[in-house]
Amino acid sequence: MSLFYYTFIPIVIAFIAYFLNKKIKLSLAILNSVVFAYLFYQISRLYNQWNIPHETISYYMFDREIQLIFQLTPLSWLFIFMTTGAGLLIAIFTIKSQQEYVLRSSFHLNFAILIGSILGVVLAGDFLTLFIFWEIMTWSSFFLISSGEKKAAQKASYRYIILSTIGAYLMVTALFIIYNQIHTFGYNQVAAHLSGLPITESIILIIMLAIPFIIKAGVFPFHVWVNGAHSNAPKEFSPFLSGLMLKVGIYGVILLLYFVPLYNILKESVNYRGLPIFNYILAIFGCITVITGTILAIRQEDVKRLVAFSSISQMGYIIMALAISTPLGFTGGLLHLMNHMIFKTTIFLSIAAVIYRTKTTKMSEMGGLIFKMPVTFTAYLIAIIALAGIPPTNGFISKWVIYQALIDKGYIFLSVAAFFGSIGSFMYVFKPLSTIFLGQLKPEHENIKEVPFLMQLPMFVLMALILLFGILPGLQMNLINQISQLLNIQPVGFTLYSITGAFGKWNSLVIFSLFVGGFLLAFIIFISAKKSKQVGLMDTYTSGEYMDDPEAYHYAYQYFRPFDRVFDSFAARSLTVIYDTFAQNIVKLGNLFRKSIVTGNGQTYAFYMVLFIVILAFAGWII
Amino acid sequence: MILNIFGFLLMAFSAMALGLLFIGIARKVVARVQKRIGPPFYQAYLDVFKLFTKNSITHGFIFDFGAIMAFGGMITTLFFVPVGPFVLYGMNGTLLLVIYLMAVAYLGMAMATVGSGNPLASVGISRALTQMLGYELPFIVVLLTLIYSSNTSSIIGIVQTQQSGFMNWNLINIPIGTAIAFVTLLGLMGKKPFDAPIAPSEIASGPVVEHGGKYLAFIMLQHAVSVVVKTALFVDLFLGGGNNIFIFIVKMLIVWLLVTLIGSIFPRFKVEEGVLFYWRWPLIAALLQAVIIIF
Amino acid sequence: MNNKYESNKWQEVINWVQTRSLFMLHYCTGCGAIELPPTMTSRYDMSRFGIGPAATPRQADILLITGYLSTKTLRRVIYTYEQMQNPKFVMGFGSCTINGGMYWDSYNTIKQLDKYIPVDLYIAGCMPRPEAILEGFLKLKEKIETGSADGYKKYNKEYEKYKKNQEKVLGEVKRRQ
Repeated sequence: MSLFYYTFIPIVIAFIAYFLNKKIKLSLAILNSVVFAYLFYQISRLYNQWNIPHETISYYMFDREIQLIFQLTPLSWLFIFMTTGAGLLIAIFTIKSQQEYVLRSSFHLNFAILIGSILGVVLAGDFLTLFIFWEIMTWSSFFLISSGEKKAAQKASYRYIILSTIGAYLMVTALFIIYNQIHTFGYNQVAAHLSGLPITESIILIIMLAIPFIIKAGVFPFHVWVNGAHSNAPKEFSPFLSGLMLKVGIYGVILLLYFVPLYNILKESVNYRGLPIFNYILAIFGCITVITGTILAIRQEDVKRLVAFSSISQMGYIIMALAISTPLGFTGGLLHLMNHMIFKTTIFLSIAAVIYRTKTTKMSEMGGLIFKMPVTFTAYLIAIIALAGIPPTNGFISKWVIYQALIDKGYIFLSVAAFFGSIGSFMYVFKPLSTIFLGQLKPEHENIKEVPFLMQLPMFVLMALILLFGILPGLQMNLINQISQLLNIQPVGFTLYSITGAFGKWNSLVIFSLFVGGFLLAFIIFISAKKSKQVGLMDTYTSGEYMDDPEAYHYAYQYFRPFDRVFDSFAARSLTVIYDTFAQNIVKLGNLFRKSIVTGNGQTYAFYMVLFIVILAFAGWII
Repeated sequence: MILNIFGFLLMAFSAMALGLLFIGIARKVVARVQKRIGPPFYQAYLDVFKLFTKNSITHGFIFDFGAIMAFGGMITTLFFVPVGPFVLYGMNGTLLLVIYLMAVAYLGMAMATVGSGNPLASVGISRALTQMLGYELPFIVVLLTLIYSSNTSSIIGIVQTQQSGFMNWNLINIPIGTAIAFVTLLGLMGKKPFDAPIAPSEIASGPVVEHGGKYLAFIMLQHAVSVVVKTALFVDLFLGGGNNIFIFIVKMLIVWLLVTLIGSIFPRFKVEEGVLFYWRWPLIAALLQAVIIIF
Repeated sequence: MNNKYESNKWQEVINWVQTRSLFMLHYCTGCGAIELPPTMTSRYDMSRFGIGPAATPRQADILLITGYLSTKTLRRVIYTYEQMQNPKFVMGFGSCTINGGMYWDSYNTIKQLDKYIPVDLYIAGCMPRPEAILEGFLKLKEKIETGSADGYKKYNKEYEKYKKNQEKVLGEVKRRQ
């Protein structure tokens, strides 16, 4: 199948199904799942066929030939595989979960277009194709975010689209400047041209090209759109937004730094400890992203906002790892990218399942759901173990590689930030676990049931993947080393069970078997001891008081208040406020300008006319 | 294979025994500091045995699973820390692994206690996690410095770099780091200035508020193993490990006694004070030392 | 352990350990609480007998009622007692728990603790000094070793009687178990 069809099929199917959906309920969701499943199957068959030739589709507009170029590399295969995989799981999830959702049809229309456009972005063979699909992606995701059920969704989507537009303008300007000089958009030609330019010029162009990607990746100081968009988007779209949309930004960064080897250009600029200053700044931004995301995630009371901030902080890891530009850092970044997609999608899906049943996102309004929704709980538990980087899950492996890369180069401050994010993640992932799933059950949730099987299925698949890649990281490393070879990065040594770091390696099979051993021993001791008696949740130590109200006996609101107190002044100085003030000042300035010229007074306008004629007269155009 | 399983069981049970002995000795020492006679040194064994014979209650499957996870996680951690010449699994990249493995036990305990539905337990866990963010940061900086300077991240490797004599110990090589690691050890073990998470007089012993009978016994065993793991880790990293198991245990005992002695003379920090304490001097000193060693 | 003889042997071992490891929950209602700090700290040091304070009823073996019980506090004591796990022992402390002591004619103070929950051992005195408390603990240990401290069994067996007495003074007593 031609590469072009991968982007084309979802978009066409989406429109057909949109009109079909008006007649038959749910047809769109099922059709989408089938299409994504087909694409997924086709794409998995593409593995290892890297020598498919470039594909060019040309058409004429205003007497000029415009070419869309598509190509397949291991890097783009990874991304299209992840995109269709996540799209498939989420489409299956939505079959049941969206029964009461009003904007169902437009959700699926936009979702399919989004998948198609992401495939386009990733398969693009030159900057023009990339830019066209990039914009389709921005707009379809904009519609998806704004179709959230809350009022705040509109504001959040405005913030998203404004930042994206700024990025797109910068990118298109840079591209036209380059096109003017070399009349092509090809990756290699652009890179060759940039390396020929004076260093300041090329760095300005590189920054203009990089900013849209960094905005999409949600890296400081452009992370302000992420939390609002994630928390207000429809609950089924949040997993995709966090799992993949942010990663497409990372794809752009990888594309710029390695695929278009801008790294070589940057090397000639100012270096700090063997690292180009641009990379170093990017790493520092990643480090700030980790810290900010962590501190703010700990403060949140809304579960989707909390996970959104955690996404921000995890993206910081990936950026940090990619920016330090060592083989180990690149490997760690890509590993964490894949693993983050897997476990963050799981977290968001399990939370979507909770929201589906409880109809709320406030953590203090839930509690004790573990006995009602055990599968959802298990999915959440395994995903947060992975997020916190605890073995034997995949999150540990990628974090371990990133730490190795950071210590190897002696970036002590970056490693401190990384560890801060990692230990802080224990705090913020435990908060939903404790307040939603554990603790006292609310009386109004007495009759809640587990979600339907079609919603459990994606969670089961993702749980299996978390454990699979936790035990067999070699599966991922196989692909990553192919990408490394493509990008001329020295591959990292690995076996099926272990990865060689800078300071040694470990064996995940041994870790896993020891885990089994330790748990078995504990289990045997536990079973052989006296049997215990089951009592209710309300039969707890209450200092001798008899409690009737489970609501009053659930510790959920402001869970980490002592910690939050330390950072109150920090959180008050939000970057969002700064941006908002900036925007308001621009509006004020515009108003000032308008008021001084467009006064609404007839005499002023008469004066303008006279002035105009006088100027013309002086210029000698009249008379 | 059989030998491995035998070693596995031997190590697990002897660590439990050793840890309980250490706890008993610590109680005796604290009593002597306070001019009391104190319980006999084998008191901890009696306590655990008695708790296993008592009846107990459970608050559902998560309460059981959490107890198993806490104990099993700590046992698993034990196998990655060399105790004297006994090294079950001497893998190379184990130092960071051990730090994360300990989190499994904490997570299990946290889940069990919060699963009991008691808000006092949740308060305790909230404090414990907050404090963890406090003491882990300087500790990690010291560990990173250690990894960088000895050029290996395996605990065995670090032990081997300090083999030939007292002057090669990291205690001498990086004295500031050792001191900081010792201060963080107090927090890691929940000793006195940093025992806000289990404050019995404020929040009714926090995480273990609902644990009785065999559950409390499990927590005590887990604590016993964690004492062994943490002191052994400290000895391995800073005090040169040991080829002889007796010398190693003596070193462990010295560390444990120092921790106990210091813990027995302090009042309690408020939880955010504890965090800020760690982020002030220990963290700054650790970073300074890291900068000196790396550059 | 089907054999009766073995079972007894095993029970003896358990009792022996039980006497050497006792966690005590002290319910401090009246003035009696003031005698406990010297008992615990360096002057008298009860921890040398293996007795230590516990924070919650879940962990405790001994419930020590230190002083008079009003009808209001009796309710709390009953909740606490029922949350403790078998084997559990109750010690009445001071005259107030025996016969009401100086509150013998108070309208809302209960006179005899034994009517409401089974008491294994009383320590007489107003107030008993730490020496007397320690003596009481040693007596309790003897009783546990011989197996005669069986208040918790009695409570199970004669539950209806206790319940009737409790409800007579308190009205309805809500229970979880």
